[in-house]
Order: sequence, then structure tokens, then C-alpha cells
Amino acid sequence: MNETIVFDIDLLISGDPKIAIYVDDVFMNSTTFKHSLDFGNHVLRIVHSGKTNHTPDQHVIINSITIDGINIRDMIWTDSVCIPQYLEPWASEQRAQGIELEERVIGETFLGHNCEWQLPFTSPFYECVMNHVR
Amino acid sequence: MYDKNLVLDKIRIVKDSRILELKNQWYNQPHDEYTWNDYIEIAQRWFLDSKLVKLHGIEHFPFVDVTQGNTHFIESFVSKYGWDGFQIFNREYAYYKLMGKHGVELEQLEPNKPMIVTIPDFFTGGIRDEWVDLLEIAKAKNIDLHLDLAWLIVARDIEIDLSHPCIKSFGISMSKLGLNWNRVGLRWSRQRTMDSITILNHYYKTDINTNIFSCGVYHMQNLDRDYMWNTYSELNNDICKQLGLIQTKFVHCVNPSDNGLQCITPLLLKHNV
Repeated sequence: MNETIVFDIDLLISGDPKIAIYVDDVFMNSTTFKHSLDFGNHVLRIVHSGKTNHTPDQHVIINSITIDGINIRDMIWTDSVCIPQYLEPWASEQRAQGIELEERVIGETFLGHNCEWQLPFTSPFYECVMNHVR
Repeated sequence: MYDKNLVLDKIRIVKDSRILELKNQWYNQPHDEYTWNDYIEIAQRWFLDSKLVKLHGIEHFPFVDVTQGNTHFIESFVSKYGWDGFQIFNREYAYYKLMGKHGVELEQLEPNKPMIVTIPDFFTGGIRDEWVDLLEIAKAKNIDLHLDLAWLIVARDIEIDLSHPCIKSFGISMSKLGLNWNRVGLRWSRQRTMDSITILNHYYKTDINTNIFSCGVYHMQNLDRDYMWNTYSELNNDICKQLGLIQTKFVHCVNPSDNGLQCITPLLLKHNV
């Protein structure tokens, strides 16, 4: 079985980042889109790229995500993971100072580095929400 | 023979002696308890068992939830979309106007905004005139349609093709069969979404108020699905013929007009033998 649901992703942008949104491996060319999902496991992915050492202020903020009419703020905070790709030489400099750079950041909504942000979820989506809210 | 003064502008449901007797029996006799699961199975069979109205494409609606009547169906929808988040036609169920919600004409429908449509309605007394055009426009404008079929229970000669992709859900209830004191119904959905009916059916199905379902089942077991027209068809024909009234699909309503139908319930009750 499957369902078709609407995703509405509100991003706040600083600078000129490249942003790509995927559900599983399907590229979405808008921040608001309707997508058909087979019942089962899925991943919403937001890829931020294009940041260089010359664009230190570039970032993307995930302001809100609404799926099937439900603002999933709390799911973002607990279930999402951000996998940053730190720029050099900045990353090495940090590590040299003894600062540990996280490889996976849970609940991050400020995408200051090039990164892939992921939110695993299941379909039917109403069940996913019910399983999350206990 | 029939008093024309008993043709009313105010619509009343037909609560005849048989229906009042069932209510009395419900309160005065012991009854079996039926669970949420029992009710869903029995009610689906009963609601869809009409020989007088036909719903095609029911297989497109695999998700079935219990409701506490069709007002619950509406309010659950409103809990999802908000009062400004959906649209209705002019000449709709008075409930919306009472809540300050006003309708639009066919050409004013907004794209991408879901809509509730009452069928049969209280102006045409059947499937509203805009229905065929609405389906075309809904497809073109991406409007999801949710059908309030509360009054189908006392109607005949209605045929609806539910397979149209824009029709997303519909609700039917027992209330208009004299059971407005124990509102209970079903909602069929093409796909289930989060709203108050979904939550009720998910969280509370094991400790839900089984009294309303048991009472609903009791009435289903004791009333034929087409009870109203089977009982009053001849009388309705005769009243309309004698008084020069225009029949509708409703057993108790006549004279379709933009001002609303008229009601012959007092005549049906007075002359039923």
C-alpha cells in the first residue's frame, strides 16, 4: 500500500547555499511538494553544499517542516541527524586545539557547514507520528 | 385528506412508533455489548447494504474508522484544516453558517483547498446540480473532496461513483434514522491522515464508549437499511400526488428550491398505519 502526502519545508537562508532536498533518493525541486510513499521506511534528506572558506556566513536554518499537515518540530529535535563535512583547514585547526568535531549531530536545525541532514520516518505517516508521541 | 398546513419549512427527521419503540427497548431491556471491531464490521455491511442507493468504488477506501456521527466527521476534518482551511458551497448544511462559515459558487472555488460536500443536500433533495462540474473542477484545481453522506440513510435513487481520485473520504451515520440521541457512524478514507477521528480510533479503540456502538448495532439488527423508503414509499407518493408536491430523493422532504426543501414528516407520521 502507499500514500501521497504533502511536505512543506520552511528554510531560512543566509548567503547563496546550494540546497537539495530528497525523499529517499528522489530529488525534489521545491520546498513544498507532494510525494507518493510506499508503506515502510523512508528518509527525508536536505543537503547543504557550496560553502567555502570565503563564505563563512553562509548557512541554512530549518525553520519548520510540516508533513501531511503536521508540524514535526519535536521529531526533528529527537530523530534527525546532521552529518557535517567540515572545511579544511578549519577542521584540522579545531582538532589541533583539542576540539572534537561531531560526526553526527542529533536535532540540529542550523546547518552552518556543508552537510547532509537526515530525518528517518515511516509511512503511513500518521502512524509514525503516533509512535513518536507516547 | 392531507392537511397542507402540515407541510413545513423546518426539516424534521421521521421518528415513528417503530423507532421510538426501539429506543424504549434499548433503555429497558438487557443488550449485548459490541466492541469497536464488531461495530466496524457490522456497520460497514449494514451501511452499504442498501438496495436503493449505490456507492461505487468503495474498494478505493480501505481505511474505515468509527465516528460519533457526521458532525464528528466534520469537526475532525476542521481539527485538521481549520475553519479557514477548507471550502464549502453556498446552499450547504446550516451547521457551517451557524459557525460563521460561508460558502462559494462553483466558479469561485480555490485551488488546492479541500472541500466538504453534503450529498444529498437540502436544496435539490438529491445530488446537487453542480456535482458533475465539481468533479471536473476539483481535478483541474487539485481540490480534495470529502463527502458528508449523513442523509443518505433516508434517501433513495442516489448513485455515487467514489472512484473519482479527488474524493478522499466520506462519512455516513445512523443519526438521521431517528438515532440522533446516539450518534454513531463510519468514515471511509482513501488514505488515513492524522485528525481527531484517527486519534480516537487508534488510541481509544480498546476502551472506547462501547455503549454507542452496541446501541448502533442493536438498531442495525432491528431496522432494515432502507427502512424509511420501504415503510413510507406509498404514503410519500400519495401525499405528493394529492397535494401537488414535488418528490425528492428524501423520504421526508419535497419541493426542491434555492430556499430549501419542505418537510412532510408530520404527514408521514399522522397517516402511517
